[in-house]
Amino acid sequence: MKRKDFYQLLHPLTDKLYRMATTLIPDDLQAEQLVIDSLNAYLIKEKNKILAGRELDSLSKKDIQLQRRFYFKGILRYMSEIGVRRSSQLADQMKLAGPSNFKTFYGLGPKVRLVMSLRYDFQFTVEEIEDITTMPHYEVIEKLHNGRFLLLNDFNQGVQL
Amino acid sequence: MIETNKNIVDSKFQKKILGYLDGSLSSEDKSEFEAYVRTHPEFETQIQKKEDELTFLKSLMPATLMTKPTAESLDSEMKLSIFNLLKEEPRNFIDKVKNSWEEWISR
Repeated sequence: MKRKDFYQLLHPLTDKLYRMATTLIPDDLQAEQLVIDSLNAYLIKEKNKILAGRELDSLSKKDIQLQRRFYFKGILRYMSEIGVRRSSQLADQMKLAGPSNFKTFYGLGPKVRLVMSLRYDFQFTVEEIEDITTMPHYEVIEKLHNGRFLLLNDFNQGVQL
Repeated sequence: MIETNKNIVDSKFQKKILGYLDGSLSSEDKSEFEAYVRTHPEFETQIQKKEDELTFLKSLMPATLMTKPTAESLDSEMKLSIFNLLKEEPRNFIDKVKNSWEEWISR
């Protein structure tokens, strides 16, 4: 696959990658940097496989969608790893900057936010989330359960007050 | 007695609704759950309720949209990364020309 084909394939994913990054780090510049770092890490590791891939012209629409999803998951794998670590390091600064909306969501741990977003925003299955985050099945289920409970519970308490 | 048994069964499947919607049930559990729903259409309202709850849950999560300057800046950085890191080592003069040409037309 040529470089321009890969860029064309990835271009429609920019928005999604950025959205995922802001889930982990609610700061414009940091989120942008996270997308670039994850992409770079992926490109360095998978360069040969990408270049050996079929030309975009020879792919059917369905194949293009499948390829796009494959690369999206690949980049998300790196984003999960880098983003969770970076989010923990930046936690204090993020508290100071503090996004006024979604305080409860950003109050959750980075791994919980990651799993919640992959499941409910990006509609990945539990198996796919296991693959992307390298978390075991029980941990994914646990994080989904905790995230759901904490978000809804906090909302219900807010309504009661 | 029959009513109590029905409640136990109902509650057993109620606990599986979220797992079903999350796709975390095993294939056996999923088949069992779907068979139960087919034979108990009234149970579908409970599934719908949970589905609504999950839709609402999404509104408690951010869905940040990029501003135009961010989109432009990110796009150009991604392009730069792809063109720099996916560069094939030129094996001969023709490859060199091909790479330069590709870089030039992608500007």
